[in-house]
Parts: sequence; C-alpha cells; structure tokens
Amino acid sequence: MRYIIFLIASFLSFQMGAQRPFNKDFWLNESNSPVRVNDLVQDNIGYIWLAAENGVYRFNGRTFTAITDSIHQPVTAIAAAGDNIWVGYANGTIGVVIRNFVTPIHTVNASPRSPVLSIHVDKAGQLWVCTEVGTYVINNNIGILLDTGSGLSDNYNYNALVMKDYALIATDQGLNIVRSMNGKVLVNAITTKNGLPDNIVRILKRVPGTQSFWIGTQEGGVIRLDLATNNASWQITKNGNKWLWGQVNDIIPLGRNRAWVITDDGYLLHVSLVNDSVSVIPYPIQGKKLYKLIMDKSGNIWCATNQGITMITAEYASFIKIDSFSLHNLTAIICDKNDVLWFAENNRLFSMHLNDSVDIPRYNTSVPAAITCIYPDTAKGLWMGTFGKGVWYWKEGEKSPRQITDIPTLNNSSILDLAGYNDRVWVASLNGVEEITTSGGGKVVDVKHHNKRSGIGSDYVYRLFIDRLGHVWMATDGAGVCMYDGQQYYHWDSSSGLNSKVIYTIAQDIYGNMWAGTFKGLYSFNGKTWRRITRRNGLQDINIYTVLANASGQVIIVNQKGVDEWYPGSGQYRQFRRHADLGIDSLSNMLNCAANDMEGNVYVPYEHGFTIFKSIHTAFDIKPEVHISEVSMFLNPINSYKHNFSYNENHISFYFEGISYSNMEQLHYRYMLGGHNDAWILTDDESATFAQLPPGKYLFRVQASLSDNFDNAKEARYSFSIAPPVWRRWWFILFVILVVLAIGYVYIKIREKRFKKISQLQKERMIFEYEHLKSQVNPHFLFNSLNTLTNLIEEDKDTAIDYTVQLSDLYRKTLAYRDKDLINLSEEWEILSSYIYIQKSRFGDALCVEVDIPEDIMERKKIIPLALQLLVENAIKHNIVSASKPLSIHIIATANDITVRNTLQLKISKEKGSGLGLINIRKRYALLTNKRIKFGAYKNEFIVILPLL
Amino acid sequence: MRRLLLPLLLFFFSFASSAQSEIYEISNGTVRFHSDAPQELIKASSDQLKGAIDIRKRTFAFKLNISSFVGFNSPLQREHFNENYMETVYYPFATYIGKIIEEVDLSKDGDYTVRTKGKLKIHGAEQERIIKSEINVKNGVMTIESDFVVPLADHNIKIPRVVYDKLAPDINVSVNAILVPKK
Repeated sequence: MRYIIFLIASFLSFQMGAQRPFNKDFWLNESNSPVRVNDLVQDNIGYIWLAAENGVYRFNGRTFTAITDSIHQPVTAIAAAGDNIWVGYANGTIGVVIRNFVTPIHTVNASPRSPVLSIHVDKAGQLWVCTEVGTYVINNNIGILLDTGSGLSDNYNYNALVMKDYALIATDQGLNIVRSMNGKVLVNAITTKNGLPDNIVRILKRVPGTQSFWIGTQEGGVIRLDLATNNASWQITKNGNKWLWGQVNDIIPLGRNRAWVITDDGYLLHVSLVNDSVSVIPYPIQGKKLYKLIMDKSGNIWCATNQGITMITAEYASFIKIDSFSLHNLTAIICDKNDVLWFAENNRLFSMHLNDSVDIPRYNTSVPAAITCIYPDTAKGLWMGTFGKGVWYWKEGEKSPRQITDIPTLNNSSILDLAGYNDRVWVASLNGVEEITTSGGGKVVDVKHHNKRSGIGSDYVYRLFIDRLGHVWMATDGAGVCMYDGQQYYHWDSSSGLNSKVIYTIAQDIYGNMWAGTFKGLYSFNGKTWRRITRRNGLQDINIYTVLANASGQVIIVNQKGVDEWYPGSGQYRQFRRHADLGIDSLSNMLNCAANDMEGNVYVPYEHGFTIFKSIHTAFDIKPEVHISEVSMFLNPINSYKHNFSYNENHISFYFEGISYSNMEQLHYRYMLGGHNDAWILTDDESATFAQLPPGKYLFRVQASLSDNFDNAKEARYSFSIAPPVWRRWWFILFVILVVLAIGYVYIKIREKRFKKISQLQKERMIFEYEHLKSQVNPHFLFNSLNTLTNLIEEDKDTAIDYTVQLSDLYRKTLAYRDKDLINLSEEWEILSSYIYIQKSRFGDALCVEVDIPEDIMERKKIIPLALQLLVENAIKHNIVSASKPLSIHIIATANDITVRNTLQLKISKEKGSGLGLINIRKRYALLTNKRIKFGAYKNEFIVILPLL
Repeated sequence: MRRLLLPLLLFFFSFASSAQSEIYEISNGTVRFHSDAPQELIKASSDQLKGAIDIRKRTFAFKLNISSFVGFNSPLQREHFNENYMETVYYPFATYIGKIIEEVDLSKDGDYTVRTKGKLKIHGAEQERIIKSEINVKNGVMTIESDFVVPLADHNIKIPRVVYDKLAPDINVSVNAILVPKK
C-alpha cells in the first residue's frame, strides 16, 4: 500500500504544468477503422509517408494515397533519402517507391528475411536495414550482414545511425559503435557497465549537426550520449530518477537539452536535460500505443499509433482546461512577472501559477464591481479597473482591495484599460487617460491628464499599449491610433493607409511593427505606412477583438470566428476555428482579453480554460508546399517525365496538389503557363488543362497559398516544349526549296534538250524536204514523167488524165505532209501509191511492186512522212529497171515494222546523192524514237526495215 | 505431451546438448490467468507448463497446452474459452521462445530480476514481448515467477460485442515454475 502511495506521489511530482496539446486523429480509411502505423517519414517535397500494417500511404495533410505493392505484408519501416522512399516489410523485403508503386529490390549475398525494424540511408546511398537477426548493409543490391559474428553485442538491432567514419547501432545488449578498419569491423559496445541506464537501446537519434545523440531505452528512460570529437570517448547524462513512463519508442531531439519522447505506455513526454537532471512533462495520449514520432516543417508533431496517426500541436499551441471555469464570466486576464496568471470573473479575482501542476485556480479577493482590466505593477501590487467604480489596488497578503480615490473623476467612472511601466500607471477611462506616477503600494504621487483636447483626439481609449521605447500607443474610438512619446501626440490620417477612426486593440510584434485591430480589418504599421489586412490576406474574420504578439514573431489575432496566427517568415496565417479542427470551442468576445506570460506565450480564454499560443523554438514554415503529381497528354498520363512533345501533342493537363498540415481547407492555387500567357490564374481546382497549344517553349508554374497572398509562395514547375510541325522546321523548308530548285533545274534542262531535239528534227526535216523537193523537181523525174505523159496523151487520153491526177496528187500530198513528224501509214500509202502509179506508167511490167499491208495496221500505225516513197524511189534510182530485168519491190508490214525489199541489180553508174535519203530517215527516227531502222543487202535483195510507231 | 515438446527443445538447444548441466527443465509449472471484466470475472489455471532454460546462452523456450486450463466458473465458461476465444482445435499451444536480456549467471544461487525478450505466440498470432521475471536459484533448483498482461487484440482474439462486458480486453497472466537441471 505504501508502495502505491509512493508511486502516485512521484507521478504527481513529475506532472509539471497543466498544459495539454491539441490532438487530432487521422484515419487511414473512410470507415475510420483503426490501422496500425509502424513508421513515419516526411520527404523532401513535404509529403508524410506512412508504413502501415496494410501497406504504404502518402499523406498531404488531407488525403491518404495508398501506394500499391505486390508484397502484401505489413510495412514495418520507411525511410526517405533524396527523392527515394525506401520501405521495409515484416518478411524482410525491402522496396523502393516508384510512381505510386513499391518495387521490391533484390539483394544478393545477404538479404533480410526477418521483420525490418528500421531503415537508415547513409550519405553514400547505402541502406542500413536493422532486423531481429542483425543489420544488413546494402550497397548496389549487394548485402552484408553485421551481427554477433561481426562483433555486435546482439543480433536484435533497432536502428542505426551512420556518421562520417563510424556507425551507431542500437541493440538489445547496449549501443554499438561500429568502425571499419582495413576491411575489418571493429565494434565498441556501450552498456550498463559504461553508465547506460539499460542495455535495451530502443532508439537512437542524433542532434542535427552535433556528435550528441539521444538514446531511448526499454526501462531506463532517455539519456544523451555526447561523443568526443575523436569518437573514442563519450559522456552519458545521468538519469537519477526512476523512469516511470514505460518503454521509449521514439524521440525527436530539439537540440541537446530538449526532446519529445513517446513511450509504449501511451505518453508523449517533453524531456529537458539540464545538468544531468531530467525533467519530464507528460501528456497522456488516451487509449493509444505510440510507435513513431516525427515533426513536420510546420511544427506539428505526428505520432504513429496502433490506430492511425495523430497530429499534436504541442510545439506551437496547447491549452489549460479549468473545470470550474466559464468564459462568459471572464472579464480580465493578465500575467505577472512571476508567471502568475491573474484573471477576473466579474468582480472576483483568481490566480493560477503557470508552472503548477494543479490547474485549479485560486480565489483571491473581490471588488464591488466587475473587473474590466488588471495591471500588476513593479511592486507586486495589482491595479484593477472596474465597471463604474474606478480603480482599485490590492497586494497579495492584504485583506481586501482599496479604491484609488486620488483622482476624483475616476471614482465613479468605468475603466477601459490599464497599463504601466516603472513608476507609471496609465488609466484609460471614459474621460480620457490619466498618467499616474506612483511611489508603490498604490500611492499616487502625481497625475497628468490626457484627453481629447490635450491631443489624443478622443476621450475613449480601448487599449493602452506601452512599447519597448516607453511610448504609449492608444487605440481610440474616434481618433484612430494615437501615440504619445512623453512630449507630443502623433496621429495617422488616411493618407498613411489607416482608414479607421475606431481602433479596438493595438500591440507590437518583436520586429517593432505595430498591429491594430478594428471592426473592419487589421492594420499593420511598419513605422511609415499602415497596411490593411482582410480576409483576402488570410484572416478568418475582420471583426477583431484582440491582437497580441508572442516572443518569436507570431502575432495572435482574436476575431469573431476564431484565432489567426501570423507567421511572418511564411507570410501566412495559421487559422484556429471555433468549431472545427482542434476543439477550440469558443473564444471570448471581450475586447483585449488576452495576456502574455514571461516567455511571451499568449493566453486567450476559451469556453473551458485558456488556449496558449506558444513562442516557438525553431522557425516553422507554415507555407503550403505544392507538387505536380501528374502530367497528362490528351488525358492520358505521361509515364516518364517527358518534356519534349511533337506538334500534335498539344493538349496537356497538369495535376497538382498542395501539401499543408495547417488549414488544408484554406488552400488556394494560382498557375501560369509561361510562353503562353504570362498572367497568373487563381484557382481552387487541383488541375489545369491547356488545349491546342501552338509550338513553342513553355514553363508551367503553380503556387499554393493559404490566402490570396502569394508573395514568396512555394512553387512547382514543369518546363516543356512543343516542336513545330515538320513543315515548319528550318531544315524542312530548306529541303523543300532545294527540291523546288532541283525540279526547276531539271525541267529547264529537259526543256532545253527537247528544244534542241525539236530544232534538230526540224533541221533534218528541212534538209529532207529540200532533198525531196530537189528530187521531185529533179528534171530527170519531171522529164520522165512528162515524157510518159506525152506518150499517154497520144495513146490513151483517159489514162493520161488519170496519170496527171496522180502526179498532181503526189505533189500535193508531198507538200501537205512534208512538215509533219509523223503521219498515218494509210496517208503514206496514198503518196506511195501515187508514186508507184506514176512509175508503173513509165516502166510498165519492168517494175513490179507488191504490197502487203494489213488494213488495221494502215490506220493504227504511224511512220515518218515520205519514208516509203523515198525507199521505193531509191530502189528505182539505184537499180536497173528493164523488161528483161524487171525490178520487183516487196512492201510487207507487220504489227511493229514495215519491210521494203527489192531485188538487187545495181546500175553501173551511181547516181549522185545516193544514200543521203536513207541516212536522213535514220536520223529522223533517232530523234523520234529508240527504235532503229535496219537496212542492208541480203542474198540477192536489198532490205530496209522501218519500225512502225 | 513430452513427445511433442522434445523436437522443439532439441531444435533450440541442439548444439548445447552436450553440456547437460547448462539446461534446466521445468519440473512443475503453473500458469494462471484472470480477466477483470465489468460483469464477469474469468479465471483459470493450468499446471501443464513445459519448457527449459539454457543458462549459459540465456535462452529459453516454454510451451503450454491451452486445453489444459481448468478451474473456470462453470463448464460452459470453459467451453466458450476453448471454442469461441482460443479456438483450441486450431491453436492448441501457446509458446514463448526467446532470450534473457540481463547478463545474469544462473548457475549461482541468488535472486535475479530479469527481462525476457521473445516471441509470444497465442492463438496463432506472434508478438515480440519483453516480460519481466523473478528468478530464484537455490541448490540447483530454479524458481521463476512472472506476471504480465496479454492484450487480446495483440493475438487476434475477437470478443463478440454481446459479451464485451464479460471479457476484459487485457488478460492478466501469472506464471510460476520450478526448474531442475536436465538429467
């Protein structure tokens, strides 16, 4: 029994402070059924990756995307390195996430077969996979096993940290410092013998940039190990008290002296190590087992639990719940220099020490009227302004408060605000402002009156704020902001940007900027101009009751709908809503009802206590991230990230998503397609499509913000180009020009050639014609013909007429056809038959001509004009034609050629110009066709074969 | 029973079997459990615990026949235990095999508080557990006492909604065993 009492007592003594963080549970599936999450990691882009019992998930603050795999095993470990996400499974499989799919990697030599407890990726890209049978070091798919055989103290390895020239491995038998020397593994074990509180080292975390490590053990709690620069010696912090919180599962070091720790028993612990003493602030997370812990860039702590993941606000916001408290009665709140929070419920004054574990406020005293404001002076006295009963003074230990009656006008006045520094107390009433010099104990030494006429410009001052220089800033009703520097009053008119004459509240941030709240917006003053801030800039509401700044630059703005917290580094507001999110259910609508403690934390009342907006230790970035998750062409996803497209690939869509762990619902995007339209397009959609893009170079840019303000917003880019079509590329155009030129050239050449040929033909024909005419008007021929005619006239007049007709026919046809290139065989035949008739008339039976030309060939085939006539003429000319030696000529036509054959009985004397006609015929054929004429003597005959065309 | 256990032990201590005195065997082992549900207290015990410890390598293996539990409030309760929850037909045994974390020399007389770490397999589901035990060695006789909690959810033991109040989600288990050197 005594043991139990001791336990409870020691439990309470550790319960420092009554603050609790806000928690929010996230479920991995829509049915909200619990899924155990074994590990967590945040990648470069900002996504949180979950190793869950049923697979890998990627989380963007709002939705979980399941990453599929073919392994179907619980995922037990996950790690991010560069752009890679490494995943370890319960059966020992290691995988890497490639485009929303886990691809297993195959390891040779040694590959894990037992549950992967953790994965660490070193700077060289080697994987250190800790398992129950040792640690596998995998480099380029070749695995090496480190285990007791290599010198480790134990095979059960929880996690590994790899430094430049050594590695630390947490085992069941202490911490191992592993070095490699000349290919040999050297192990230094740090165990309970060296001062470790417990041999089971469950977790090992490095303080970034140092050689200090936080170590969590199974039952010995947490300690810090500081390695000397030579790595040979070390120091371990002592841990005097018994560890009461259970097995440590994970640690987030926040420097050498501060860390967040989770335990198997369900505690989130804030652990401070100062001079070997461990102080722990526990936050029980009800009903969950806590496995892993990470802190995202925006300051949220994420915990992997047996049910899913839980977001914890402990780094930037928490609350104190007070059971008996009612917000509706709360009228004033202030914190003194000893971190005692004073607050009034109507006329009753309560106090609470902020470092006390007990969150039951103490009743102190009361005054006859409702307390509207409190000022703790430097002499530990409390000045209280009341509603209708002036100012009262009370010091702790005194029986009851007394009214300050030195200023008669205040006695029955309502007090709007109190402020002060050193020996001055400023009182804002409905009659202006009194500047009181006090000698302590509430004694008034001197009073200076400030009012509308003296220079404030209004008698109503809602808020008095004394800045670091001792200047008094007054939020007035009717005169805007008034600042009094001890000598004169300063005002700002609308030309400075301050458009409101009624100011409810005013405060200064750590950078010296003034923030003024009105019922229609917030104003921020940089020393020169006032800038109005509205909902467009990310405020929830413009009806502002209270503004206060913390000690790390944030400004807390209490408005009708909730609280907004300005993060100057991010340029964004983190919004806290009354009814949503974190369970802040209601806020006071009293003006200026908030307080700063000594650390600068801001206390704002809510329905059941106080919400604390903490001064933060590191600069969080609450700017949302944005990531282009998919690019598609004609709505088909592009597999590999392709950046060059052809001219007809001109319908491109971008799918992007914002990643934000605060106010995901407030996300806005804007995008621009540089090269297409250089104007930003605002959207809440998570995609953008561009159709029928002309060829060119483009740069798609998308930004995300929690408001309409995109200054310094995070941006994702995708550059691509669409090539011009083939007919618009320079080389194609050049090619086309060249082809046109070549065609022109060839055409000209061919034309030239043809002209040449034609002129040649004409020349030949002219020669032929000339020759022919010459032969036709050959006096010999004429003489012979006329002689024949004379004989005929005498003998047979009818035949003479016929003969004359034939002769004139011959000349007419010769004249008609002579300038043609080709004539029908029938036409040639007409000439020839006239000629034969004439010659037959002369020679009678001495000339025998036989013609065999089929009828169809007559009409279909063509021949050079006068060719046949010439051949017959030649035959007659060169051969003896007499009754005793008759000349027989055969003309036979086939489909392709015509043969002229005559008996060879050459005259002795050769006639002049012999052979000229035949050569001429050959030349003319050559100009017209490829077919050649053939001629020559064969046996007793002269044969000419002319091709028919 | 002994026949079934032997191969397991042989597997586990195969290369240590030459040094007989290093292995202690359970001569008398009892396991009790009780479940403090709002409506019904369930308790039962079994004296059929078998197992052995290798004191040199500080490894151990224990095995229990689930159907050997007796002492329920009613025969019906025992039937439910075996058929509905533990499904004894399919999962007849519970085992706990592992190692002792603390570097203790159990060949010497004395009282030792140790953490045992191993795989606890109940209802076919295996869990990595660290269980504290008190070991007393006197004149070559080893006594082990241990109390621990078995969450039903860890071992896929489903509780029907109707009897949610009759069965607590966590079962308290206590083990007492006397071990003697193997002959």
